[in-house]
Amino acid sequence: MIFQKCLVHKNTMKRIYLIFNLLLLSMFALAQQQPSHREIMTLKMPKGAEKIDASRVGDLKVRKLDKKKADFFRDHIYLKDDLLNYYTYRTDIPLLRKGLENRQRQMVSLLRQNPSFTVTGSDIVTYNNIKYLIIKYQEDNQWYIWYSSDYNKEGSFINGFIQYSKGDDLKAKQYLEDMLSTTKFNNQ
Amino acid sequence: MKRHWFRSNSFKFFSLFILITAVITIHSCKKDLKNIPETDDVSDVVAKAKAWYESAYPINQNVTGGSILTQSVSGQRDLSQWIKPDWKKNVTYNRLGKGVIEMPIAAGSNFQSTVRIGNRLINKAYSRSYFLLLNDGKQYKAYIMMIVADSDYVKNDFTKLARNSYRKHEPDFSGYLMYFTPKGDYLAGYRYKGGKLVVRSGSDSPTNEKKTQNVKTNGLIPDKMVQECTDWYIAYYDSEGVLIYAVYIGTTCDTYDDGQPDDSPGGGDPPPPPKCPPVESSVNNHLLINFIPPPDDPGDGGYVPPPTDDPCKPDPPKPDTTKTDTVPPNDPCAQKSKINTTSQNATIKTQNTILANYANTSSLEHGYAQNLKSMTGSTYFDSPLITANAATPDILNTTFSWDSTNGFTIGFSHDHPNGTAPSPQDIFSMVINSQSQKLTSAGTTAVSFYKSNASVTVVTSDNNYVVTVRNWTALQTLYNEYLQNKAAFDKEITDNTALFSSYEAALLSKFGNSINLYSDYSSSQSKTFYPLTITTGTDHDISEVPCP
Repeated sequence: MIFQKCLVHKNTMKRIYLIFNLLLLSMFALAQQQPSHREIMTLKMPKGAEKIDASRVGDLKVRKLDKKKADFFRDHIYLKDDLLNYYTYRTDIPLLRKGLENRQRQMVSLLRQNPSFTVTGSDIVTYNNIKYLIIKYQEDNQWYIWYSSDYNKEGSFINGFIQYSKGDDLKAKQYLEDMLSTTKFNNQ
Repeated sequence: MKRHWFRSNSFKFFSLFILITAVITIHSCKKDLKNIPETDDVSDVVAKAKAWYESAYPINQNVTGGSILTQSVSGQRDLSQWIKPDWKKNVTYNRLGKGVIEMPIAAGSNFQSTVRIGNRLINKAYSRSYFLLLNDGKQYKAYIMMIVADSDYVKNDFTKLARNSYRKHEPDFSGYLMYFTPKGDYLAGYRYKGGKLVVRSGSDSPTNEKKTQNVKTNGLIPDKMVQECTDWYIAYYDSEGVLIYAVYIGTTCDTYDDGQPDDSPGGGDPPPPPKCPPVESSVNNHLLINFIPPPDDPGDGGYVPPPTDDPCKPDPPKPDTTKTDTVPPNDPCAQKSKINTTSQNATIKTQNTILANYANTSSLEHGYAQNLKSMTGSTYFDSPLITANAATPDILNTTFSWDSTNGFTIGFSHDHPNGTAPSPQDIFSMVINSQSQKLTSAGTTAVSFYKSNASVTVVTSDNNYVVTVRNWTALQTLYNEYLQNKAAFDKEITDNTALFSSYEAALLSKFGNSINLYSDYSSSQSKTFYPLTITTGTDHDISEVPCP
């Protein structure tokens, strides 16, 4: 009888101990999710997109990022089904802030002037009440969807790329739509 | 019977590990949170300090009851009228025999600041300022403590900035610590590298150039040692990032082997900030800051305390009038007023107005040569309009003359219908012109005059841009690279424009300190030009050069 009581008591203690540890673990996980000061947007990546370390991007079907790009996009590189998505946040000083139409004219013109690039489309589209400049272009055997948002009230915006190989055009387009349709500015 | 996992040592170790990790994490988070008092009550100690501060630095009131910003002719403000401590977020403790109250700047101050070291502008995002009130038992003293972290230390984790305070900095902190009075007068500055206080090696010498001998692997070779002086400024911005003003705080000088100069953005380890007050000599009207040993690191994990000396207000450096060389200083601020004066010249203004109209209505580029009537005056010929061919809409056949009949071509103004800043080809046209037979045959004075005054202007439907040459040797090196592989050079600019989402950033990241790039406001009618620069670090953010 005493033995049984002890056993019950021991099992209860184990459960409490386990629950306590799980609680601490969840608090630990929450503590790590604090956004950095420069995260101006909340992005929900499409299902299956995996955040990857810049050093891993050499093993993929798509062309690997060079060191400069890997360093530049360091914290925002994602992989899903051979689609590489990388972005960062930029801020334009008031002196240089331009509308999306002017940024489109400038960038498309630059890409078209250079024989290394082939522009396959450009548009200004709205997702979740935010306007984006989208430019599709090809360089060598790589395809890119360049996306760049309008400014938030501080003059900051997202600037990113979905990089993919031949034949993945529809997948890339769907990825972009899935991502941007839920993206919103923080503190707007 | 199979032993249950709960009873295993692995489970116990795992649990212990989780427990310790969680405690450390929660504690580290709590460290930041405990700075915020749980109630709105201000303790007696803080209340007394607040009463003293508000008496020592009273807020001036205007007729409507709001605070006013005391502003000098140079634009410098009394910081105590601009920012104030957030008393509710005080942290109170004792350190180094004094009572300390540490507070952030009150929210809504519309204030940002950073440091400009020569031509390098530290990203504002790496800077944090705090109020410090120290009490030695007899009297209070108030300071503004500014911490400017290195990008290599921050590594894009901006939460690291909040982990540094007066009483404890991170063991690997690298950056600058600067103290100011609440009015904004500079008191002292220190450099930290890997958590250690940096002591300047050697001393500055008040000479422009000296020779010494170094033993090199291939024998005894005299090395030419040159002294390079760097002017330091504190730049103040509003919360939108608009530059309000910049204040000169001193000049540091270092001697280096001229075989290995370092003028690249982000290159070399920066020196500690200037001492205050500056001592002894002056060279070229720069106050030279001679070597003074920094105070010992207190060794308690906190920062060096503020000095007890009075603040200093060094006079900004003046142009060197003793030099016969007519090439102006390479500082972009030194050329700013000249650029703006030229842009307001009646002939130039008319040309640019016509070009702005073409930028909005035509896909072809148009341009005018800026031809001075004489090398001693400031009037220009009405040069003919040049128009690109429809087949090559972005190529203009420019003209260059160097005589009193056709004029002295010191610049070229043209429009970019696509809205971009000057292209590499536009910039290199100045190198080509500087080697033109028409110019070189006119003699060295003519070449020197051209190099002092050369510019390229680009008019767009948004901003207008002007480029001048800061370093002709560096620009020649880039031109040689361009000639080697034009396609690769242009591709790099285009790639980087997409990467940074900024043509200006792409241009400056490639051309570095070889050029000065100026832009006016896209939406402004005033058309005042401001120099642009790239902030240090890997972000390649464009910022306005804070000119005093």
